[in-house]
Amino acid sequence: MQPGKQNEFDVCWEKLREALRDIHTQNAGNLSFEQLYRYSYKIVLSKSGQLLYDRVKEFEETWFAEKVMPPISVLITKNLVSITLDGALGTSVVERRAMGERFLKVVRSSWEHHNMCMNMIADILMYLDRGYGQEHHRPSIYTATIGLFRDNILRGNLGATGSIYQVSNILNATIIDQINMEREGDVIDKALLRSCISMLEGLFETDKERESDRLYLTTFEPYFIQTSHEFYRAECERLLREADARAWLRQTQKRLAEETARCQTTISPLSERSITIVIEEELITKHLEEFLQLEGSGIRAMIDNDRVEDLKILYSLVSRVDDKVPVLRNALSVRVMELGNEIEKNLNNTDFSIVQGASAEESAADGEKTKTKPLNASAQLTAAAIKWVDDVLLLKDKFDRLWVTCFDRKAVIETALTRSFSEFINRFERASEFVSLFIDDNLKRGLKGKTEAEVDIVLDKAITLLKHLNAKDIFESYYQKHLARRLLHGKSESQDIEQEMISRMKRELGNNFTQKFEGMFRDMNTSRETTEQYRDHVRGLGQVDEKQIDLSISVLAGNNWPREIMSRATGSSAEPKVKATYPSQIQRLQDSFFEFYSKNRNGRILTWVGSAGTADIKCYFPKIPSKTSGALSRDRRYEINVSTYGMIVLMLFNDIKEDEWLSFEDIQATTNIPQPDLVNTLTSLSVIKQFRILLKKSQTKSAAKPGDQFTFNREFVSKTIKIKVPSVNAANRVENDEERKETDEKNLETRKHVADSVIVRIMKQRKELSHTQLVNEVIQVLSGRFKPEMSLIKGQIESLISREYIERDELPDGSPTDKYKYMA
Amino acid sequence: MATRSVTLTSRLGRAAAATNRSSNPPAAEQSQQGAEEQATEEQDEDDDVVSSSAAAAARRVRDQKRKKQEEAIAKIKKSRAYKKRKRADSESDDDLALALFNEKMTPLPGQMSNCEICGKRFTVTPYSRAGPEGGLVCSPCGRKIAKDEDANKKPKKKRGPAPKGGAGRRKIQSRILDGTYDVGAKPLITLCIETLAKNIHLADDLGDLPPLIIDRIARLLSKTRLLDPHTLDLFLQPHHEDIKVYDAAKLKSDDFIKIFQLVPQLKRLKLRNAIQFTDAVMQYLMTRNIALESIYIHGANLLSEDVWTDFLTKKGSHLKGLQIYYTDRHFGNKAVGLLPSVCPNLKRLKICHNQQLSDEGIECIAKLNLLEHLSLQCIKKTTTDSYINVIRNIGQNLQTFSIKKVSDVDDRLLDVIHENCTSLSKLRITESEFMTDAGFARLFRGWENKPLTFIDLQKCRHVDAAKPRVNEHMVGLCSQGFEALMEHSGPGLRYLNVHACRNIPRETFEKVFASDKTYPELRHLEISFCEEVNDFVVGCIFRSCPKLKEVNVFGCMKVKDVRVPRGKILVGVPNAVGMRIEGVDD
Amino acid sequence: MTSDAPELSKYVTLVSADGFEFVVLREAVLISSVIKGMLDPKSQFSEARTGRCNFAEISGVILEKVVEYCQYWYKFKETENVADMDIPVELCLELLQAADFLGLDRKVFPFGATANLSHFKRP
Repeated sequence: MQPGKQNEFDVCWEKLREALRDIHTQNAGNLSFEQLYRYSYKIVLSKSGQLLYDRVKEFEETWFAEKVMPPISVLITKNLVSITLDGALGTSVVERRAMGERFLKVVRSSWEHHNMCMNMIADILMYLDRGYGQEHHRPSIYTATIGLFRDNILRGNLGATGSIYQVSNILNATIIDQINMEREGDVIDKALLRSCISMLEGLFETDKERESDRLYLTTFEPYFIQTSHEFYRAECERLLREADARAWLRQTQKRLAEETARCQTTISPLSERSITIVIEEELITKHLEEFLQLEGSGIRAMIDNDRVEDLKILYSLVSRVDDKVPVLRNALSVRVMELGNEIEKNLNNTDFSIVQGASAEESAADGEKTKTKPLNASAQLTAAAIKWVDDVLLLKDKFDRLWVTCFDRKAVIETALTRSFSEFINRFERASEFVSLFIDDNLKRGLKGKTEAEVDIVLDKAITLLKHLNAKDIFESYYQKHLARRLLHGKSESQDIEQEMISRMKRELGNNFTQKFEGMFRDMNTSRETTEQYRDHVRGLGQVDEKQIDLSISVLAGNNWPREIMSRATGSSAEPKVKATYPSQIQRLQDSFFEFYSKNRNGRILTWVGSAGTADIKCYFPKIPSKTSGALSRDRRYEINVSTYGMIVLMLFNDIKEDEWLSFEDIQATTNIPQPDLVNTLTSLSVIKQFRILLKKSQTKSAAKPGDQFTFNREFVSKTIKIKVPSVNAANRVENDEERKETDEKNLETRKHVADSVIVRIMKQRKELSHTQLVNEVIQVLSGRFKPEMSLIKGQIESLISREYIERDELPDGSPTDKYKYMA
Repeated sequence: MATRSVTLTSRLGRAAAATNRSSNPPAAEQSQQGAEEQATEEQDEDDDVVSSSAAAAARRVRDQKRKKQEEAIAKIKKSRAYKKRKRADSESDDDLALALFNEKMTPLPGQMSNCEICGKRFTVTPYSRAGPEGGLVCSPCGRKIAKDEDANKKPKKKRGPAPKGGAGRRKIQSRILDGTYDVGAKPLITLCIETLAKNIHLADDLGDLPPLIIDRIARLLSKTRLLDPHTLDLFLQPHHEDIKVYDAAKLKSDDFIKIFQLVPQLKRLKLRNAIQFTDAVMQYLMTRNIALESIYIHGANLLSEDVWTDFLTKKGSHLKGLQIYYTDRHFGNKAVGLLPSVCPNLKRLKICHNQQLSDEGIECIAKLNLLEHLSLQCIKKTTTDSYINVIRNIGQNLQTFSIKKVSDVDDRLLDVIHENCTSLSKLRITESEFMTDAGFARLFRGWENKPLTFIDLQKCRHVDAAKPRVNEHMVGLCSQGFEALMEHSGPGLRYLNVHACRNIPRETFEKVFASDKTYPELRHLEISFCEEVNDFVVGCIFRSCPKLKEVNVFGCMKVKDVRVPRGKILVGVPNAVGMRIEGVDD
Repeated sequence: MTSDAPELSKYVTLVSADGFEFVVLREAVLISSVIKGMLDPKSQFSEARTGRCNFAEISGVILEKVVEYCQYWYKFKETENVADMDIPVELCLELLQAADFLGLDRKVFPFGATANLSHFKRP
């Protein structure tokens, strides 16, 4: 530079330097901005901007070293270092806080002063930035000098105290110490912390000033997160020791809110997400299982005691961490299984021989003897079924409520619950039967007097349970049985509700499922029509015979109705088909009807099912001469309703002399009624006091058996004129073990047949399939009806191979492969 | 300490302010007045001089006329029309009556009448105009009246919706597209510079203005095509080290020579449209002692290759920056081949739109060890290998690497960049048809380079006219590449251009700009013709990029209705106002 | 810090080299970053305290134009399509220099200088 220029520069610079000093010592009042600005302007215009820039930097650095550092260094005593960084104990909380505050205050005031000075200086050197800085891509004067604070103060080492750390470490440590104190419950100076944090936010690692390089993010935050991890880890362990899940829930919630607030007021919103993650990890995720397993306050207690608030909080916490809430789902599933199994256990422990609750009231209302009758086996089973279903439904309600109120109707939870319910329901062997019984009972009497809405609810519940069942085919057979009985004995409460039930089942489970049931209804309807038509026919025949027996017929199409009814009629496969012998009048009636029936229908065979029908008989009990008063002194005429077989038996007694006895064998020989039915019939007519139309020799309360003798009971009295002899059917309604085994076997057979047809159908369509593929497809198709066992499928495949429906594929060299081929 | 003289007004010369206040006093009025005076004079004269029967007859006629007029007026006063008008207007009775009378008396088309102005007798037509007094005028006079009216009206009309600050509606629309349309007054410096530019012919010297201001003046002059040999002088000061001529179209070779004559200290030269920069100029330059540090020359098509090589050989040693645009035929492989030996200090090399340069020349660039900024746009097809060679050798130091329209370059280059470049901050590769998504992903994943500030990968996509939507091999920038790019450079990226990278799927955009991602430095984003971009994506972008100033979504048809935050600009969504939406949402 | 003046005066005075004084609305002249710096109450410079700015090297004629500009800018700062203020050709160069000196190359206020120290000023 030419001497003249140099001179000019020096003069200007001298003035500026004095001004800088004045600014720093807060003596700027007499300075004129314009003057100073003009000096720098001139310097830049004369192209000495670079020099000025360097000189200013130099000045500031010196100033820092001489004037700014010392007050801070003074405070950095060994004491401070050892307490904040080396974790020395021995000072009280109050002392620690006071020391920390003092340090922070000094740092803050030093920073604020520096900042203000630098602003002023940057202002007067504005032209330097505009003219020189931009052109040469240098950071502005402000940026360059503000960085000095960072370099000299924050990164200044503490060599004097023998520590390896920097001031910024102490700063960070002090701030964090204060925060921890606040977490413990102390009151700290939030504003002080905030200003120090702002300082860190405003400074960058380098002069490039990249966002991600803010000192706050690079030096403070990592340390903050780390110490927070430690703090919350310790807190969580403490909470675990206290073993109170409720406290844990509430504390976690509180901490989350607290830290979020702290980010707004004391530290920086930049860290909000990170600190939340810390809490989620330490307080929620780490020990979640353990907290849930706590006795007395854990998930079990919460569920069992319907602690809605707790569950709500729990849900909100865990869903933050993982939207699919696996741990919670698991715990809920486990509890559902446990409670489900308890229901089963409960069932086994209850003695149903005593009438339970509601049924007791009902029987009282029926007007029968108020003395609680011991229930027979069938009634017991029904009661058990109802209880089981009720309990299961209650459990379902409970969890549904929880799902709605606490778990925000979350889909994954719903799935988990449904699955667990299905699991324990299907583990219970008698589930299908019980559900059918439940529906049966409701359709017979449970729904009496209920409103339409209440009926809907019950039906809905039934369908819900039905959906859970795996072995739908077993349910179908039970339902068929129960429905048949209802229809044939007219025990159904309302036809409409029956239809409603069928249509719902159709909707949920498909047409195939309800085909048989609909057939049964159709049969009943058709039969009513047929009866009408027959009556008309008879009337049209001419004379109305007074003794004409009024016939109501129900024609049952074989496929729809349960096998047992059918087989009873035709006899079990082992015995030859034996038809019961009907009294002649009845036979005439049967022939007449058959003639009428086959008029329009050719080639049909009608088989009379004696076990299923009923007869109304007028009985005449003449007065007993020896009695002069009371009922027995009068003639008694009663109309008695008995089963068809009962009618056959009673008619026999028309033809014998008074006081004559018929033996069991006699009756059997004459009537040809199958033994089990005969036992039932005779028992029903001779055992129960009210219906003792016949007297039984060996007058015991036990059932009739071969060897017994029977006679007409002249002394039979009844309060009512119309009597209905109840059918004794402990054997019918409830399967004893033997019969159950038989039913199971039959079920298995059916399943095998079904599997067969499915396999053949699939193979026919696909021609060639591998073993795994075939098995998968079969399972899929069958899943609507039942869950097939692998052994079943395998067995059927083998059987089909041997029956040459399919064959195993072979390699050229003859070794078998995995594939099957369809054989046409 | 005065370093400059205070008053500069003398240099500009005082332009006399023309006083053009209209100095035509109402001449018409005067003449009219004159006419009237004359008339009355005439009348008086008549009365005085002639008392002959002619005069008396005339008087009689006049009296009769007047009488008839008065009768008619009296009649009119009784008429309904009069009463109606009277209610409406507030004219005095007589005036009103007279007006009505005049209307009634106006001759119908077809009839004859006397011209009010010149007195000629003419046939009244529907087009006959009315004169100043209400009577009809003949057509010649009528035409004259019309002309006078127009002359009076026109200036008024012009001043009405006149351009405010020079902007009519088209101007406004243009400014909208440019992004310079907003509220408030222009800065004073801008106003001064504009005034100066308009009057540049009056200036002799620009004085000691700071270089930035001089540059702005130069730009403006170039933009308004005012830079010519005369105005050039203003910028040639002996102590200048930088000369930037933004439009040298009007300069002749002598003018260029003049630059070198007058500015001996010249270090950095920038010439655009330097058409007349001929061999002679270059030869002159070679004779001078000027040690140029950087040359930026655009459009100097007359320079021959020999002169180039000559120049570089002689004067290349000081050269740190060489930027050559549109010298199609004469700066080719030979010249570039020389560079490593003659310009060892070259830090910045840019060859744009050049028809000669090919692989051979590019290979030589690999030897420029100090090179920090490299930009190439060659018309001839170039292959990957040459670039690979370059990067392998000097990639470490490169801060800028830009190759435009390199359709044949493939992934291998990306891999080499990944291995060798650690100081890049600006990367541009455009129109590659072979680079694949996987290649880009490999480049950015685990790259040692710090985050880039400038990325331009426009038009890197799959091109197949037959099956435009099928991209089996994932050519171009797609999901993986884009994700990796943002992952790597997100923290530092300031400018991103992925124009026409239409293979980037929507899910990738949503993932990249998800709510938990921020791109703190991004200021300018071009995602035009990325067809998967929709309203939601644009909303996410605004949320993720706090410093974003402008987003360009031309051709993104799924962007229909986006809320633009305050202070941001969205370009490319057509709406009622134009193609640019300035955000006002808070 | 010096006195926290409860209210800043609405008007300030700009003084040219040749002694001409111009009283202007404070708000209007803040468009110049230099004048803004001068008058910033947080700084302790004399101009801030007295509300007077002396420009030792700007003549009255030029300063007058500057003031005119400031008022023109202030008047139209929310308007669209503002008509350009007329600049007399003979003043153009000098005015340009003064405008450069005063930092009049912005349309809006320079970065907000607020009372809260946590927002740092940027020149």
